[in-house]
Amino acid sequence: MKTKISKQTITIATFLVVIFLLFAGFAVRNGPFTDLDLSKDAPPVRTTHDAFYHSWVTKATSDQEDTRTWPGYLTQGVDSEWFQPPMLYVFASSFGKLTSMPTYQLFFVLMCLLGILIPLQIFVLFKKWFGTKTGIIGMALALFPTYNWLMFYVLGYYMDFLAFAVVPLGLFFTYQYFKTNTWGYGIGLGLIFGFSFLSHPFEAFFAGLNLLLVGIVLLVLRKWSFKHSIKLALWFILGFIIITAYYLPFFIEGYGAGGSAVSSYLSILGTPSSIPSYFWPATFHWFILGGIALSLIVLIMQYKKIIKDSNKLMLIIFIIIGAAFLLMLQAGFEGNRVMRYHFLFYNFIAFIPGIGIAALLKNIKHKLIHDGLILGGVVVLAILFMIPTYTQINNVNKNSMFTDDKWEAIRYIKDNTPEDSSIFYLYGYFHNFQAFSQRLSFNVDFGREYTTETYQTLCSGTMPEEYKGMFETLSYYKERSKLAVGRNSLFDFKAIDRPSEAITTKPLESFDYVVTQYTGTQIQPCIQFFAQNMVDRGYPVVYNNPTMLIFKVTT
Amino acid sequence: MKIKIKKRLGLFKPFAYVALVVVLGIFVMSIFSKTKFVDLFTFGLAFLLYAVLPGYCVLINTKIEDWELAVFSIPLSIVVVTSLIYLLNVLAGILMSIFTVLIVIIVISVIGFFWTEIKSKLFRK
Repeated sequence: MKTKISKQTITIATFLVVIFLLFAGFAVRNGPFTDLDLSKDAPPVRTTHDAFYHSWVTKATSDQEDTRTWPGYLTQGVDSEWFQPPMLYVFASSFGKLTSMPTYQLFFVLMCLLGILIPLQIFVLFKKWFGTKTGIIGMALALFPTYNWLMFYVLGYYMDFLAFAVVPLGLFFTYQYFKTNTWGYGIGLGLIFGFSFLSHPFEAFFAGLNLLLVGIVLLVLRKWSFKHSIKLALWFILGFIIITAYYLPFFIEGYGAGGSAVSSYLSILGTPSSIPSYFWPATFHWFILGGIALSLIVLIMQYKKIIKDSNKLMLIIFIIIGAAFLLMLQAGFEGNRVMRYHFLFYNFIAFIPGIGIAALLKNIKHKLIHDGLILGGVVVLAILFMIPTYTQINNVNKNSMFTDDKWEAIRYIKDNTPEDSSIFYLYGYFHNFQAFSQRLSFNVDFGREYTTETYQTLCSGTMPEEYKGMFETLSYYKERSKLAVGRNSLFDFKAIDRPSEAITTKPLESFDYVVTQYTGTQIQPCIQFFAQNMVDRGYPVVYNNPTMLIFKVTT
Repeated sequence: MKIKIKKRLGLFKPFAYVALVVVLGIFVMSIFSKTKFVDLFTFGLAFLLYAVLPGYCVLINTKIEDWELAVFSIPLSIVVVTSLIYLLNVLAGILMSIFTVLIVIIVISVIGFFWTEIKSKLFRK
């Protein structure tokens, strides 16, 4: 039966809308990155290579409208199979087809929406199983896993984020399947897990554990027969296979192959070195753990009062899952993968403390104080999580080495040169330029062993006639040719050599354009000598700004 | 048939609430941000079309509460629409153009909306 929306529900809904608009407001603003302009066609977040990489691959996917092959400009025109888990890119790029918002901006806005969606789903699950007030507290606590949604901008973890965003829906489908015994929920569960797998296969493993534990507990506690279990398993496998069959051979053959190469293109960006110090703020860590311990004690004391008989089942489930994940934590999933715990510990960080706090508040008989404490607590939690995150992001953004001037030079190349142009980038950021300008580029990055001689020559006041460098390309597997059990698991992939990967020496005249950063480098006088020499030789400057110069070499 | 459709359209009240939140968001953003209105407007429309409507049309066939309907239709839409677009691309070579996206959304929504009729015709003895 569908329930009517009561006045109380509308009040709560209004409250939720206000809270989430608060978060969404921050989210769509993209913090200090966009200056409130989501119409600007440029990567708004310029910190870690993840931030560049995923938004750029989304843009590439959107442009070529295909996830079967990598874009030609990365593979020197060779069709190369796409080994990356595709779902994040398919989602963001296909969504982008319906809006005029630039893909670079849209990508981060969508990530923000996922961050809001997760606590909303938690609220609905809590409300269903434990009541509205516990739902609100749980939602506020569930913001803890996503409290650093702004952090996603600067750190990455976008694929992980999408993989976990559908887990609450999976929990809901699992519960509904056991309640209604409808095949649709079974097959849907397989689809959801498959979607999670195609977003991030390894995170799907954790997501799967979550679903599996709930499924097993429900199976046992509801005394379902072996036949029922097999039926569910079959529906699940069917849903999973439908969506993952095409990608599974790629996963078996070489998960991440290709993706890692593209990552290396962008890996020299200005990743802030101070990430670990604020990634898991120590004070919050102990604050939350203390809160969990307190809530558990209260929960045990109040268990009979707060939980209805019908809901005890779900509570047992989450205690079991929470314990299981604690064991996993002990098993050593630590370090920079803390983000995983934020999601995995929904059950332990949000569910159980949510019930515990609700039980504690139940002792306060005065309705106004009782409700006020709940609402006030939610606001306090939100502010506690938001302020340090926002402050840190301002600091992080200052560390970015990728400036507007560099982006404008990239845009000039992309918008004003033929697609088959050969570009020579002097000094650095070759990777970024190749990826974003979508032109094959010659790598003469400063600081590489093979470029030392070039820069020494320039700094001694002599213009080199030839330059040592390399093209970097992405070509691993050309095609999935046949079914063959053996060397390459299930399928035989035809591997191809990377063309022109070796270090070569090229004369300046062999390039169509020369792009150089003439200010703000460690060897500014040397680059300026180069630039002056280019002018003296009569090469026209086709673009310039306070940082970058672009010369046209071929006539 | 008309009565059935009218009755089913009556289930779209939670959808209207979601749409209201989206409109409110666009309104706030258009006042406080430098973003072009057309970008915000098309984003809001895309959100309702891509991330709410298809999942909603599927879930109205189930006996779940309004809250669940409004919230879970979002991840379900994302899962179903994205998956179908992906499968059409990799299995049939259909590019992920605006037409593909719109057709996928329309097909899922229509099938979901008329599922009761489709089911009764498909499985009638």
